[in-house]
Order: sequence, then C-alpha cells, then structure tokens
Amino acid sequence: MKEGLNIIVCVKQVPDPEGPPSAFEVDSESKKVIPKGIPPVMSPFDENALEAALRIKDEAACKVTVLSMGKRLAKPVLRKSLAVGADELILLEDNSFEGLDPYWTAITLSSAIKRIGTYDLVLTGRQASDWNAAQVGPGISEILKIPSVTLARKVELREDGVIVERVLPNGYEVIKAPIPSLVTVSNELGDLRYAGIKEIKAVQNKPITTLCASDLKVDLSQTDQIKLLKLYPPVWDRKCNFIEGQDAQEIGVALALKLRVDKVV
Amino acid sequence: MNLDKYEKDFNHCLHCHLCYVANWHTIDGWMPICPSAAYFGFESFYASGRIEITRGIVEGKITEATDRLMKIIYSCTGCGACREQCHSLSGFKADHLQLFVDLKAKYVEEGELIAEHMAMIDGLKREDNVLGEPKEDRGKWAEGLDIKDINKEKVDVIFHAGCRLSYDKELWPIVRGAVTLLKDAGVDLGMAGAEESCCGGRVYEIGYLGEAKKYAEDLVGRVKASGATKLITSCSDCYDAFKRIYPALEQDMDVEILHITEYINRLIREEKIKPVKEVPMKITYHDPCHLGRISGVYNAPRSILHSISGIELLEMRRSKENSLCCGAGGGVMEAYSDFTMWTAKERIIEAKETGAKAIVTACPWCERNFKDAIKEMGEDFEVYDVIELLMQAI
Repeated sequence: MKEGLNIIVCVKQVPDPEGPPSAFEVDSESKKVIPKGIPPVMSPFDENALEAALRIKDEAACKVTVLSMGKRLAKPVLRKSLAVGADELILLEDNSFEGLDPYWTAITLSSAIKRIGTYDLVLTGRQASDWNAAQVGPGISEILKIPSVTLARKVELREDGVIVERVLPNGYEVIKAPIPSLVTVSNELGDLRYAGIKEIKAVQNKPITTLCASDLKVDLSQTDQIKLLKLYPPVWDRKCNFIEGQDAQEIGVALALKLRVDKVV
Repeated sequence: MNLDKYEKDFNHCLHCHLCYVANWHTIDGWMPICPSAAYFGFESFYASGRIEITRGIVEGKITEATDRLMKIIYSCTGCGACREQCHSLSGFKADHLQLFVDLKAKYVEEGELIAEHMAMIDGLKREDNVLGEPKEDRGKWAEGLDIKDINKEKVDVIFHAGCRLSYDKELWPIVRGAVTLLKDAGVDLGMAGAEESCCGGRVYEIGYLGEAKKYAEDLVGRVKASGATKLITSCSDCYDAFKRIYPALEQDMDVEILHITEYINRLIREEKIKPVKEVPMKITYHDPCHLGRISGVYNAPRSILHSISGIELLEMRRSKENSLCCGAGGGVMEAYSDFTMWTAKERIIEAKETGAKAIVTACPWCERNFKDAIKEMGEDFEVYDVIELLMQAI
C-alpha cells in the first residue's frame, strides 16, 4: 500500500439516530425536526467512512483529516474522530451553514478540500442518517472533478489507485479508480473502532482548526433554490375489526374474504 | 431542553444554604449533607448555586459551556439531599433532582459532553450495560442456580440484577444469595440472563434522557411479555429507575416493584425465610440515596437486620433522611473519581465513629465504592450487603 497519502473524511453531525422515536419532535411550523433528550453524534455512515480511513492508516503511514460543517458544532462529539486515530480535525462553522441543501453543502465542503490542497482520497458516508439524501459525496466529486465510487464495503489504497469493493443487491463488485477519487462508504465496511476514556480525554484539549464562510470564499447568498414545502410526522390510523363466526374454520374463511376485499391479499 | 419552566424555582431560592447541611433538628450538630458543596466549597457547587446557574442560562447570561461550568453541573451525585433539606427546612417545594437532570440534558442535547460519559454511553450502546462489559457475560453470575429464563417461560417474579451486580464478581454473592433465598422460599422466579439490559437509570441521571427511554421501553416490554406480577431488584439505582424515572419517561409497568430488602422482609414476616443462626457483629447501616431518601425505604433493610440474632445495629449521626451519599451516583464516579473517593472515605470515617466493625448497605454501587475507599484508606473495616449478612444467618 502506498505511504504518505492524505485522506480527507467528511463527517456530518446529526441527532443520535438510535434515540427512541419520541426523541424526534417534528415542528411542522418551522419545518424542523427537534431532537429531545438525545445528543448529537457523528452520522453512522460517516463513522464507517472514518473507519475505512483508519484501516488504510493501519496499513501504511498516511494523514487522516476530518472535516465537518454546521452552524454550531459539538466539539466533544467531533473530537471523538481524533480519539480513534484521525490526525486533524477541521470545523467549518458559520451561521450561514445552517440548513444548507446538499448542493451548497457540497460546494462548501469542496472549498474547504481545495483549501487543504493536497489530497489523495476523499471519503464520505453513503448518506447522512438525518435526511438520507446521499447527494453530498457525489456532489463533491463533481465539483472537484474527481471520480467517485459509491457504497463501498472495503477501500484499499495502492500505488496506482484505489480499489473499492462496492455493495450490490446480491453481492459486490470490485472497482479500481485513480488517485485522487471520492468514495462513499456503506455500513457493510464495519463499525468505527472504540475509543476508551483515556483516548477521549487525551484529545479534549488538542487544537482544532475552525474556518468560517469568509475563510472559504463561498458565496452563500443564493442558497434558497430548494425549498422544503411541508414536513410532518406520518399519521398511522389503526382500526381493529373482530371477525366473527361459529367456529375457527368459519372465522378463517371470513378473514380470508375480508383480506381479499381490502386488497391485502 | 427548555429550562424556562424552572423560573419560579430560581426566583424562590433564597440562597439560605440549608441545602448544604443535614437537618440539625434531628441530629446533634451541624454537618454537611451535600457532597459536592462539602468537597468543592464554593456556593456554585451547592444546589442553590446550580439553581442560580440555571437562571443565568435562562436569562442568557451564561452562554458558554466552559470546563468549570461542566464540572459544577456534573459533580451533582443526584443524592436528593438538597431537595430533602430544602423541603423540610425551608418549605420551598422545588424538584431539585429533576431540575439538575434537565440542566444536564440541555448540555447533552447541545453536544457539550463529558469525556467519561461519552465512553460510558458508547459502551452502553455496544454492550447494553454502563460498564461496557460483554453482553454475553451478563447472566454468568447465576450459573448453576437453575433460574427460569423469562424469555422462554412464564414466571411470577422477575429478578433484575442490574449492571453492577451482573459484572462485579466480588459482589456476586449478593445476587446469588438473593435468588437462592427466594427460590428456597418457594418463589416462582425468573431472570432475563444475557438478554437483561441496563435499566437506563444512570444515563437518565447524566442527562441522556432519550437513551434512558430506549432502555425503559425495552425493559417494560420484556416485563409485560413475561406475565410476571412482581419485579425485584437488588440494586437501589435500578429500583429508583423503575419506581420514579420510568413514570417520568411515561413508561409504566403493571407489576409490583420491590427492592430485594422489601420482598425478603415480607417473606421473613410470612415465615417463609427464617434467620436461625446467630451472627454476632456490631454494624452500622448506610441508606443508599436511591433506596432511602429518594424512595423512602428505610425500614425494610433495618427490619431484616433486626431479625438476625446477634446483630447490633448502631446508627450513624447522618442516617435515613440525613444520610450522606456514598459519592458514586449521578455519573460522578465515572467523571470525578477523586471526589467520589473523598465522599466514600468521609462516610467510612463516620461509620467507624459508631463503634461498628462493618458498614452494611443495600446497593452495589455504594458497596463497591466503600470497598475501594477502605482499600485506599488501609482500614480494617468490612462492607456487607444486607443479603450477605442474612445469608450468614440462614
């Protein structure tokens, strides 16, 4: 495996998707999902992407830089990336970064990646666990004009390119892409390694770089092209009907007929 | 987390500092009862200080989650002493316990997290216990005891061991003794074994309310499916979670919830358990906060101890409502171990002053903390659970 490479991992901060349903309050008025009683976490697919980077680092010396953007980022949460082995954490923090759609998110992240300058591989999760758009990764590759491979279950860096095992519905395919490329990582790659108390504490005061919109020279004045028109929780209407009959056979027949009438079977 | 609802509370707090001291009407002298106030000294570490901090947050005067602020907020052990003293001495009826949990929950929602708690939550998510121990080892404490599996069989009584007792091997005699006593008394008993999960109480106390609710929902579903009529636990923290925290999380169980001392005491009264052997020992009893002050169970453990011939129970100056916390609760043991150890040592010194040769309690977190403190102190002093002493009398 090639040494001295630079890997950039894009990580999104999201409300903990493992919280109970009641922890996600939908405010139809403001069209926002308001998390209650749960902490922000790194999006699980982005954790898979970080794990992919760390596995490459396990095999050969390389630098792993984690990039995250938002309005007000939770530093203790994102520092976890350093605790598990990333070398640098760059936060893109600005009020104007709140609620950006995937297009503008990709533009902003691409600007930061260009500012970093040297990179051989960009990794993202296959999609974020909050909106599940799956557009930012491929969007970055378009803007940076580099190839992208989606849904990776294994990523390997070699002298002459990146080898990706890509998940298919009934198996996987092996793809070779040049360096630099962007790869979106799926959960099949495996969970992010565990950070113990010692590792988490050790990075709490490690310096991190923070950049704002003006540092990145991105013009976010016209970011309202895509509008969320309606946001509402699904309404589940349950009705319970008791099928009556003289015996089990009669009840069974009546049930089958009822299911057919209701077009369930 | 909206803290505006506490506006009345922080406007009513007179900063009289009665939340810091034990009730001097019932004990002889002036003794601190809030561990964090006693250890750190500044008023910010008193309940009144934390209430004032809440005011500062609500009024927008405190905006930055500094390390110092986090330490003040997270060094509350959740022992409930401030609420008890405030209610009984000043008549001010704020719910300090809930206020301080909500204060922590606000910072959890904002991602201002304590490193040690993050590691604990990661371990919990992976292994379903707050110690981060392997999930498959959870039921090992009961090996060879032939306890029914509630996932396969209907039972009348579910025994919930809890995280600490499931994994702290030195404490296994407590749970093994408890289920042996129940089985011998003819109780139709079952447990979830490796499928048992954390009750969620500890994570609720450190402000991870969503995580707590997830575990509460899981446990309530399991209990309902079992068809049991009673849920028994030897852990005071779990007991408080089932009795107080679950209803706060809108998770109710239609079963009788009993701490092991309550149930065993009932079985002794019904003469289904008979302590016959003499256990000559001078002891003192430490009320675990979650069982005593918060849940009001003071008499059942003492009644069991009185049923054992030879036991001489000597009360500490601070006991029952005035009991001093062991220092292990509220996530403090994980985050500020020096403070926890100091508190436990204070309690051991007080216990020894009674002339007792052992301190007895009814909570595995207290027992673990006291054992560690005594080891550090190099003292010749024993720690027992009520059940361990009862087993000596059977």
